[in-house]
Amino acid sequence: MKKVLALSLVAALLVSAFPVLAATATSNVTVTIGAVDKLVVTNGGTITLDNNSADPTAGDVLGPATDSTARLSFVHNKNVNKKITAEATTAPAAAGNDIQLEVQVGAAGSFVTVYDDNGAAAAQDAVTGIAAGALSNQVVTYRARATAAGTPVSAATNFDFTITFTSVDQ
Amino acid sequence: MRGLLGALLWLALACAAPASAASVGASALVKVPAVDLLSVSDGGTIVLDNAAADPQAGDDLGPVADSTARLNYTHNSPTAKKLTAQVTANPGGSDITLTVSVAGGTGEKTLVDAGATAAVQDVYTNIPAGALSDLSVTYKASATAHGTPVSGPTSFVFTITFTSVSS
Amino acid sequence: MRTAPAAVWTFLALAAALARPAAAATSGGAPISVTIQSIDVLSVTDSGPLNLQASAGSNVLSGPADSSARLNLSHNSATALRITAEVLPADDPPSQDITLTVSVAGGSGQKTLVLSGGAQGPQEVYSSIPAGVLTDKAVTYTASCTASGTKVSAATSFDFVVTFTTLN
Repeated sequence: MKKVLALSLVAALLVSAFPVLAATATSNVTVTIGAVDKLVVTNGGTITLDNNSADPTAGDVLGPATDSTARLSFVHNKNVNKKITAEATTAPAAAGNDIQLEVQVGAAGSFVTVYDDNGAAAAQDAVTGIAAGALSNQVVTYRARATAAGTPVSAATNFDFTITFTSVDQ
Repeated sequence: MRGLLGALLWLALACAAPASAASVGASALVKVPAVDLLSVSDGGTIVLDNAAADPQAGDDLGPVADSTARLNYTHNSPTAKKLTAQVTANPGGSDITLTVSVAGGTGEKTLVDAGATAAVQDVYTNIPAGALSDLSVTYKASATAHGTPVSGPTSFVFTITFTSVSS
Repeated sequence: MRTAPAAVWTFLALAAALARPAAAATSGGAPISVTIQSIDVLSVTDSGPLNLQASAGSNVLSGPADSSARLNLSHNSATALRITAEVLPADDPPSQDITLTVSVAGGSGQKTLVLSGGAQGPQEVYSSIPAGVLTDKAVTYTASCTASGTKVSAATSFDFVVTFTTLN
């Protein structure tokens, strides 16, 4: 005879006396702000001093003529102001020409002379008092002049310059 | 002899009944806990430096993303759940904007807006009982040069707290 | 099961001692019957709790096996017996996808009683048992389920009644 010790229990629900708590987890992320000091200057065009630049009634000065092709953009995040200097790091020899080359950054900026009859000048302050932030797409205007007597040529002659802009702590 | 044999033992070796089955019930008690388990690993380091700068576009740094962190979650509630995220430790002193997105979740959410901690954000909703395994967590950071001036490389560590909530 | 009364055995012993040629006068034969019942006694104790655990990111809940239960059997059948184990459908709790297995020490190995919530019918857990006893055999249970298949709002115990049966 089949003996069955019947356990009639099908499912015992033993409910916890405490409610389910929300699960939490933490995740850390580090954001490192590096030193930002980035300067971009595009190339200028060509300044031509020719008959159009001459007025014999006023003398033998040629020009001034300007070029505003180049653009300067600069950003920094240092907690001190910076300035930008300009220097003609590649220039023709002083002898044989009396070209004067000036640079202006931004329409409100002052022209600074980077090259004259004495040759390339020392680095000149082109923009000063730059607080952390950006100068974006500032117009760079090059202005050149010479004299007919001071810069004699047998034919059209190119005088090539490389202007180096540098950011410096003020 | 006969008398003795008269006292015969009648040994009736009889099975009173055919072989019968024995049967017994025993209890095996399986205890299932209420499960609500969440883990999120740390993110990597997001660097905002010259590489993140474009002065022609302005003084924004970034955004730069990191997808190092991983999220794992399991629950067995009859009710669907959701996951929220909020920055619970903000070092301050910056205009960093920090966002988070969980793969398969509710999209990119802003945790810190220009330095200010935002309200709690839903990052994953309508999660039925079951598991989310090894989901990628992407943090994205940006700042401005003028809004976060530094004397040198400076790290800002943010702690993000993820929480499971009944939907 | 009814065992032969002690008095019968005493009588038999006495009769055996007196089995020698009688010298005295005898009475007539006095018949006596002894019945040996079939013996088939099975007991299995309850298991300890099978506590399932989960980890974040895994849908499976599992836990350590339990070997608390003990099985004892005594039988005198001329035919070898076997033991089956089964969770009857009526004893299978609802709303779960638990998989429950059992094995008896020295028996037929691990057998699945419930698979993902569904009772699997009788499973042979011990075979070819000659007349005699099985004493204090450990009964080992394992259990697992999934978070998606066994939803609970709070910690819940599911009590499975496992019916062990001897058969020819």
